[in-house]
Amino acid sequence: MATRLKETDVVVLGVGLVGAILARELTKAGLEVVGLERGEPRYTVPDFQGPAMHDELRYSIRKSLMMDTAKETYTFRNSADQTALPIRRLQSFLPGTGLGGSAVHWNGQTWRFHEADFRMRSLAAERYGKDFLGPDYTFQDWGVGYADLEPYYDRFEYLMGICGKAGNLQGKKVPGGNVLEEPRAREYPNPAQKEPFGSAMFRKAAEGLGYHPFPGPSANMSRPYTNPEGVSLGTCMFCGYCERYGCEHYAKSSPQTTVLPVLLKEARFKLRTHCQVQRINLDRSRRVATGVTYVDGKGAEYEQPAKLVIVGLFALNNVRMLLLSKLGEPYDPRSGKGVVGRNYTYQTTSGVNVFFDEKTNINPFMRSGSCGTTIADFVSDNFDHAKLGFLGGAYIGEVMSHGRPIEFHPTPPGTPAWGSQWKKAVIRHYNHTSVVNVHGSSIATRFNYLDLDPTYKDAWGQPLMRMTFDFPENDLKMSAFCTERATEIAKAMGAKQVAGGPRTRPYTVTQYQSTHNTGGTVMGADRSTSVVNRYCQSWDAPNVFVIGASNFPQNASYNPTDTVGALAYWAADAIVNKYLKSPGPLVT
Amino acid sequence: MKNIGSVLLLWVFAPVAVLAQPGPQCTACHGDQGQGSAQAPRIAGQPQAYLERQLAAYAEGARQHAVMSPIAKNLAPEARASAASHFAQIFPNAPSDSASGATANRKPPALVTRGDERKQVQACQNCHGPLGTGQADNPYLAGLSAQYFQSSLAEFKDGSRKTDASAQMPRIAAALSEADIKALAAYFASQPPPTRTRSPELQEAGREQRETAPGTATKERQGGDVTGTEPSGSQGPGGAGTK
Repeated sequence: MATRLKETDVVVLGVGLVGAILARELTKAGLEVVGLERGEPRYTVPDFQGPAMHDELRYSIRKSLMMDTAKETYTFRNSADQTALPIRRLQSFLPGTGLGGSAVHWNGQTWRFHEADFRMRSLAAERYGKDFLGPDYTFQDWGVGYADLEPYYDRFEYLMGICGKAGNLQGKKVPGGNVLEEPRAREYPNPAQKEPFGSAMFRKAAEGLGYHPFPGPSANMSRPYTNPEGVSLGTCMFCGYCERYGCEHYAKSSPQTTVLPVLLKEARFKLRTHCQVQRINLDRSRRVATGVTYVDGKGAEYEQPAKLVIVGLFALNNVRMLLLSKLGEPYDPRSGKGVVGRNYTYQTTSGVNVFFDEKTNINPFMRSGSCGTTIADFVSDNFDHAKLGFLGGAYIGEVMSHGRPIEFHPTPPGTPAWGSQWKKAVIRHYNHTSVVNVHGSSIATRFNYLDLDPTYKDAWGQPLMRMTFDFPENDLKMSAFCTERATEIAKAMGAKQVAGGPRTRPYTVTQYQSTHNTGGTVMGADRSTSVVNRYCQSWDAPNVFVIGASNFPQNASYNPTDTVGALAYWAADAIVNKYLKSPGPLVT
Repeated sequence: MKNIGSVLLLWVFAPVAVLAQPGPQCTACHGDQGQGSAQAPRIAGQPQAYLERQLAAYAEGARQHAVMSPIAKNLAPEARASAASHFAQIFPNAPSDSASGATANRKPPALVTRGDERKQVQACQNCHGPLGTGQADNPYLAGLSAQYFQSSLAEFKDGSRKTDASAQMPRIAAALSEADIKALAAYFASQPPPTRTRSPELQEAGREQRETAPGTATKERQGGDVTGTEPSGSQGPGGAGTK
């Protein structure tokens, strides 16, 4: 039987980006917080130090920092008429595990969404008509707008020391920055990172075509920075080992380099690692959470009673935790009723390889996870969709995160896949190839969703979560359109050859695309189509807050982390300044 | 005007600029072979780019030294490059005194191999190579005199040495205690310097050898089957180049 522990004010599920921020804010408000982390404790020293950290086989191929799929994973199928099977080798997306979560192995791209993302349903209806896409598409408004979140974006970016150049300061356009972005109250805390050569060629080509290039915002430091928590970061060394790796130089923003150093000194915070939460416990009314049950590293089961439960797991696991706890009505794709698992979305990525002559040295190894030049001309609703027949868009950019030897060996189409001709081609093209990325939005449909698998279970005997997903028609059209634009820019960069194409069906989990799994515990103003209210508070149990990319009703063109960080501060503020004063539903 | 100035300097310091062998203004302190002395650090085998950067810094005031600053100011960039290239190609010698040899196998301080989480300082060898034996254009530390190492760190700490564009070294030096710096200095001084050079000729020779040796790396398992890429697709970020 489970050992019942002493009650705490707050239990935080997952000590990653969301968990660390919430624990910091709630301990500052005087609450006792227990943080439960399924993985191991880990720190810049000694866990991320070179030369061991640059072991590409261990970290990139064997994915040492990711969820252990021998213990738990997801099952996957493209459509409801297929039988889902467990993913035992992570490829398409990479959920992290351990202290700091996926914010340890991320690249560091830190973007704000647009008002057209937050109010997608109403603004698209205003601009293109109510039935522009038809009834199968279930995209909707978030219940919050950009203006609500701006101060929290700001706070998160200053915590993380984001490097970039503002293009819209309080409505004033600033050339050289992203002039198409929503207004910012103030400049980024740090200047943009240096522009690599390939990015400079992209900038010139994009400018020549009439677009508005700017440096992509990065969480890889351009200079030493001390954040408002008093934690210092060092400058990025452009080693090319960001994504799938921890940073040895204290130069990439992560919980370890921004908030954990102060949180772990806080007496009111208790960190427990190797704790696998089994479920959120509810009282008889099923309207109040009483705490959680978890199994520790020795296999012993504990009940941790708590007055407040914060669910801050990887997006997919937020959904699974609610399903396992029977909190909220699971989504049923046949009736369209139910909310938990509804509106699962992804990221529609593609790209083109840009092959140059041998005089053009790209030096792809000399990059950070997010330095590079991008355009937002085809992001979100920054362009007219009326004649295009799709919604959403993509940013296009020369953002090469690395040139690591095992993973990066671009060769032109027609090159044999192995043998001496392949090797010759790799040697010829390795240092003379640039990549233009297309990072596109993902729209919600009735058919893509998450539920519990009827067959497969994890190492603790709990059902795995089942993913049912394929790219919607809308996103294929978007990808075709945006990848064409990327190809035009790539050609204008002076390439000898440009090769690539749009994203196509079927979605496959055997090729890396993006770790931006979003939706499933959607936020909104209407409880019949959302799991949490605009403050990320459960409609069903008001003392449960669910925070993360799982709150996105659909995914935007940009990377999700900035919005996840903003939602974390937004929810923390609502808890401290509204909920604690009068515990109960914040929206009725 | 600048060119005329350079010509004048070339004339004044003819031995340095014209001959491959640097003149006495280098060797008087650093030794004939750049192996260092009580007054000056070993420079033999340091990366050419690093040595050039230091000379430029002395010339421009980003680094200051009573002897080095005036010398560097009087050297044209070509002369600085030539001196840097000369010393970069000399093999560093192991110190001859037995005391150093006896301590060569001592255990490195944790800061060398591991770093210090409390101080938020990463391990030296992330940038300076295994046990401080050098890496890419970053200098080796092994075999440098303790006095030189300590004064270097002191200059980073007080901000007078501005040779690190990333500003990582000033941050690190500021976080280290005097005792840390002393222990590191003693360790590196006890170690033999790396027995290799950054000679461009040697690097070229190595490249040729690799390229002409048949069958190297053919047993390496690389490519689509382990990385999940379609056979004809390349492996760019974001699935670029896939069909």
